[in-house]
Amino acid sequence: MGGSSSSTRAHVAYFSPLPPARSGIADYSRELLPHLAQRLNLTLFTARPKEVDQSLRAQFPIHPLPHYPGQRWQFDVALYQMGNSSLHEEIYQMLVRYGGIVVLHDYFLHHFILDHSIGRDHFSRYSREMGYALGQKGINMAWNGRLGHHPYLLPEQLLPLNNRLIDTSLGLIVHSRYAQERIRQQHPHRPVAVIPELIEPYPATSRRDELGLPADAVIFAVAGQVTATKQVALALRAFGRLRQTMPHVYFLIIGEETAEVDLDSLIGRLKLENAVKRVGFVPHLQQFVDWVATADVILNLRYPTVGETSATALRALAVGRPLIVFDHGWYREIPAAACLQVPPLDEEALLAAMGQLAKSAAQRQEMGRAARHYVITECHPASVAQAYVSFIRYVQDQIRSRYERP
Amino acid sequence: MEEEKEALPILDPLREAAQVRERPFTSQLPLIGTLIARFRQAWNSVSTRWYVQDIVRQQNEFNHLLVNQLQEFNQQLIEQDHQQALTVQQTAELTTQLVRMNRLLQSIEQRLARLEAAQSPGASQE
Repeated sequence: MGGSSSSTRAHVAYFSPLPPARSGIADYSRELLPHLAQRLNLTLFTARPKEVDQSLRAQFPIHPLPHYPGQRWQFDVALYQMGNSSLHEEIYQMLVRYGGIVVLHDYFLHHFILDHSIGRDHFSRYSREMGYALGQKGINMAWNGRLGHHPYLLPEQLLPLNNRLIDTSLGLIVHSRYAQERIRQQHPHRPVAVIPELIEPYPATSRRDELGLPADAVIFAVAGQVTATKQVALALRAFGRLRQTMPHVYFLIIGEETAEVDLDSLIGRLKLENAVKRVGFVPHLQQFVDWVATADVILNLRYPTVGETSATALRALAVGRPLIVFDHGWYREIPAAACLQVPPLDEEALLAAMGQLAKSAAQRQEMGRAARHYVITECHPASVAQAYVSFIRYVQDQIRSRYERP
Repeated sequence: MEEEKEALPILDPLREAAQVRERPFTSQLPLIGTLIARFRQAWNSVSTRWYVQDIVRQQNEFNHLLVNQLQEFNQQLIEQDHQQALTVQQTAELTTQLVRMNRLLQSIEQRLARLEAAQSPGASQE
């Protein structure tokens, strides 16, 4: 499939962390850029261009972020990849100064704003953002945190603090209807498109042989960094109960273990030492995908949600593994044919779902086929790139219609 | 299925601190401490309270005026911040439109140049 001619293609300034930066968004850009380049003229702007992977430097002009202001008249539009991590600090400062189209990977940016402000000894930035979001009440909340009356981040007061970003943008790309609806509630006239996360399917090889499990074993797994929000304790409790009636089920933990979850105590208390296998941190994506493919069912039980889209969940779908997820946020939008959705933190419902999938290989296979189909049709980088181009054109047309006489 | 939690009260720390309050008289001495405190209270009522209270009142008035002014400034800054964000957004729109106009102009100039070249005396003799 050939791209459009160079003369008719939009010239886009593309801002993103880039590999080797340890960031899901850097990986996302690496997969997306070759497909975007077939449709757009791209110039990349990033924090440390000389450190960027050689393969990208060979394909694209890459400039330091401070060069953008002097060059911005060359570009039809700026496109910013924005996430909830400190890697986006300089990109954020650029986008609130110059505006453009923002790809908002995380709807909630409170953690980023905390790092951007208090984390850099700039409390005033934090009170300014809280004031921008909530007026004087927001400033009072910021000061209450500073004076130690309560922590800065209380769940019941968790604000997205994305207001300034949205107000300065020409349009937004998000990965879920969950995020789109919330943006539209606050900003009904701002163009917002839902473009799925992209996943380039990797061929995967099961590593089941390395685990030394019986041939009829049904393996449930959690994948990704083991943090408190992944609800591994809940998953293990439900698994422990399931194993009492189904001794052929096993549990696999794939990912870096953290101090937030004391797995040794947890597994010991539940007496699951013989049923749980722990892989630890997996440095390479291909190995990670292979371990995900080793499992029969992936549990992705993030709670609370901050409007994120789970790359781990999508990797599982891409290798044809059914998911069990909580029925909230983006997880609610995964096709029902590919996953079982249970009420958040409901151990009984989780147990029932695990039992259902443990019993039926046929159902697991059918759901796996649906999962793979979803990723191939909705999340392929070429489809995502085309959706980007369509949205950029839409935003340009909207602007043109405001400034040109019919 | 999130549990409803009682929201913490949002204190206005500045306004809380602006209020000057009299401190009660106390004494840490055992047995006679309470008597001493009462004596101090009574002496204060007679000798200085009427004088100090007026100063406290003036100070409180000034403090609250200052807090109101500061919060008024905060409100103005917040409004300006919103205006600035709007200006950034509008400038981005104008930049996009300007780039488009420049490209169109370049295209027109190129076409004109080709037309002029085609209509030049040297060209018409061919």
